[in-house]
Amino acid sequence: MDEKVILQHLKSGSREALSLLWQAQSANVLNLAFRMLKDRDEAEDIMMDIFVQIPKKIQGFQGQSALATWLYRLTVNECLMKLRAQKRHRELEEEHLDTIVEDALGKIEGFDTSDFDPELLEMGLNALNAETRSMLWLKDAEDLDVKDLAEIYKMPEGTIKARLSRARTFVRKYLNERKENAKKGA
Amino acid sequence: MSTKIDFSKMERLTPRADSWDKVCARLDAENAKSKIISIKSWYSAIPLAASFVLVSLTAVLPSFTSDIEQENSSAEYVSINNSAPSEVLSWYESLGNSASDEFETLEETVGFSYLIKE
Repeated sequence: MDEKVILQHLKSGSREALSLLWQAQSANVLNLAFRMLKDRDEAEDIMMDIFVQIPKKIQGFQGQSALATWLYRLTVNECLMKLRAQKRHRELEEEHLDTIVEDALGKIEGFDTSDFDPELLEMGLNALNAETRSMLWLKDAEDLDVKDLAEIYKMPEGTIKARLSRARTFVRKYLNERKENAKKGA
Repeated sequence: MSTKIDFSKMERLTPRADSWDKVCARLDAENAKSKIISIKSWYSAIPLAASFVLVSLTAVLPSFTSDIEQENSSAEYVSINNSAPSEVLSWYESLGNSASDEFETLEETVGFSYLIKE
């Protein structure tokens, strides 16, 4: 079904349209929430909260962005609110990240991450703060455009690009360090 | 983009089997709740409307009753001009115009018939 038609039906309160949206987007919402919260149960709760809110919140959606982009924005906002409420946002500060990245820039830009253990990659990803982590996930795993990310995070595209670049470099450095440590240990 | 991080090997979660049912149940509960709230607001509107009607009635009713009283009084009023004979009228008009009481000059039968008629 066309997205505009789904949007119309959603605005009229159609449960069937919501079901279609669930089928298309619930896994994406769940994975994004999981990347941000690092907790499966909390991610499920956020996903369900978001779908329960959709019939009300969709009334204010003008259709200027894609429905998926709008859903991602809801998810990011909900997750950040939850993290703030729980005061669990104890992660790497941006300044700290910048220092690490400046040391590593250039050397590891083309570093291949595909041969790494997914658990290790997850650890590297989890070392980022929730917002940057979700940004990197949406760009590299969900393949969103920088334009969409700018819409979701309400930031200039240049800022998004810079943060993505720093985050990638940080993750690669993290993986490289673990690889080197493993070699030394062996 | 060549600099992308490869997340393809990472586990991709899928929603639990009962999650959609839970969403539907919560939506149904919210709908029911909103209906109850609207009924409650309707119930609170009834006394408000009733008091408004009472106040407006107390303001409007006196004007209705005064109209009715006026109509009643105008209906009961019988002009002496229409009912009394000319002798009685002339006597009535001349009352107080002279020093003598002219009641005696009114023919008794005329006065008596007027009283009977009244």
